[in-house]
Amino acid sequence: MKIMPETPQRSSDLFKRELKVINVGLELFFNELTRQSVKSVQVDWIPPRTLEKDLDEILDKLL
Amino acid sequence: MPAVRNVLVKNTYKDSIQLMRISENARKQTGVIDAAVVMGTPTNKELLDNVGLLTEEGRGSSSEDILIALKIESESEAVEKVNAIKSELERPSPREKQESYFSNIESALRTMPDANFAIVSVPGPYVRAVTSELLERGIDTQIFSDHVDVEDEIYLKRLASSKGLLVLGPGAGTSLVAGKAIAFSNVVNRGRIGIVAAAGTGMQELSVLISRAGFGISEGLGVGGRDVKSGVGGLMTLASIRALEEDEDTEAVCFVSKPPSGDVLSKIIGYIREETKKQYVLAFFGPETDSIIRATPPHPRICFAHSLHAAAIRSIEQLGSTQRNITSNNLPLAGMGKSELEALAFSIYSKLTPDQRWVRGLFAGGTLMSEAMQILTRLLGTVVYSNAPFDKEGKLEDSYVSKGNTLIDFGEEEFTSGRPHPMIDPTIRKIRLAHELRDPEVACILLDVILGYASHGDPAGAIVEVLQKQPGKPVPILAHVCGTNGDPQNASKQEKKLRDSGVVVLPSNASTAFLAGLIASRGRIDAQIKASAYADFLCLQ
Repeated sequence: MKIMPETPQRSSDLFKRELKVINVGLELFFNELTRQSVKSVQVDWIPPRTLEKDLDEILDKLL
Repeated sequence: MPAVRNVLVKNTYKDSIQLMRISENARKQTGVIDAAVVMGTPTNKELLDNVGLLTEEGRGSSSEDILIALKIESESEAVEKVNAIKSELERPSPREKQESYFSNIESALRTMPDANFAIVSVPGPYVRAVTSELLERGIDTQIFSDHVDVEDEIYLKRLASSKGLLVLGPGAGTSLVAGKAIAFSNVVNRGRIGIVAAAGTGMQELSVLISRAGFGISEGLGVGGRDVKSGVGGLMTLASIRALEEDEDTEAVCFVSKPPSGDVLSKIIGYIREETKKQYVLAFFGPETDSIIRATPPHPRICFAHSLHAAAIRSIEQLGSTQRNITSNNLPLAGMGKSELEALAFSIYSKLTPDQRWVRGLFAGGTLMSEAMQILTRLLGTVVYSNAPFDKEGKLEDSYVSKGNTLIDFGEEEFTSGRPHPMIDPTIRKIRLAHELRDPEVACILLDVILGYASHGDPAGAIVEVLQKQPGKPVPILAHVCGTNGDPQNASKQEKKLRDSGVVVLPSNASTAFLAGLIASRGRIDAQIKASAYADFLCLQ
């Protein structure tokens, strides 16, 4: 019985392609990729706002 | 009259690197004696308290608040100084290419629809949602974040497996993918040795030693320390091994890790034996290592290594004869055998007082600390204490207070909650170094100096700064620079800076720890134990 599932492994394609990176979080990593001329985009992530419960329920009904 | 002021900016988030830069600018203001701008986490509040920067206002902060802590020459200037810091907090960072910055993943992927790799470094509780979105878009992802719930990790890795994708991490600081350094990684040669690591600085040390020996790395995949435990079941370890097995540019694979759980180890060994064809080197760091090696039936394609130093040498040896060009000049510790090491140890310990008995290791790299612990435990035959020990007996009661032989991992979560990693910000380690230097019972201090992308610009300089302020008889400092001349910091320059300040610099973490063991024991180690340690850890017969 095989230990690994039969799902095709796509990630070995990764090694041969030009790396194109989306960085979510610390801008430091995006800057270091840019220094290496890696095509990258930076997502300035911030925590989602948590609303008070009753406001959240009202929004759910409206949307 | 100097005053300490704390001001909170409630429910506001900035990442730890941005806050570190704002803190540095705040300290440069005229009239500011000391300053820190941090998230109000328990770790940060404790640090501020220890340096006299915390007030009652600050104590009331939560982890979601930004805490501005100032010590100023005059209370009357407090408002002006605080407002300057608040302006900087509100100001957007200067950016050259505005078109590369986005507020959410969706808009970023509209601009780069063919993104094939992601790095995630958001607070732990949010990792599942962020990473799921990326995996659903077919993007292999490295998670740098810590504090990720194990159920979230299992969910993400199963999701990735179902799509044939990789999730590297959580807590994965290091990868080498398609010839590029991802997060904390070094500039190393490209070559034919692949690395899978549940051990970030393990990957760094291994890749650096192999590169400095003249060989190179095909790909290096960091799977996160928890991947090899029963809960996660080695999902990404196996997927990474498979990816390297299928990679035509990889000839030998080295797997570096904490010791896997028994069931996971069986799966890994079974997979390598039954479904691979390449050569494998396995290096584990933990108390179970020796029993794992003894219990695993030998196999012609599997070789165990007891240290990263040995793993580098064994990995190079696995390369086919057409690739092999090994000369003794290339390998770690070239030109330095047993007698040279023992002579060096003698030249150091012959100058110590009888009270100087203990080794103190202050590490930015967790795996490097584990490796040192493995070596010192074998050589000294006593408990080595730590904040991250191999077993309960070695656990320090207070991570800020050393006991006997002590090794500290400053990358552990207790030191990094709401703070930059010690590879980026050496502050906490510097404070501890100054403290250990004043302890009359310390025989030597061990340090790892980690270079590469994302790391501090001058880690050797940060250490030298502390050494220059120490009065009195110097304590021997032993250090290893984990880096190459291609790194932004340049390994040779960092090594010279350390040597010029009297630091003893060795070419690998293992040899540095070994030297510390020879010093602390005054060379009085049972001959058989010493011989096997030389062979196992340094490949010296």
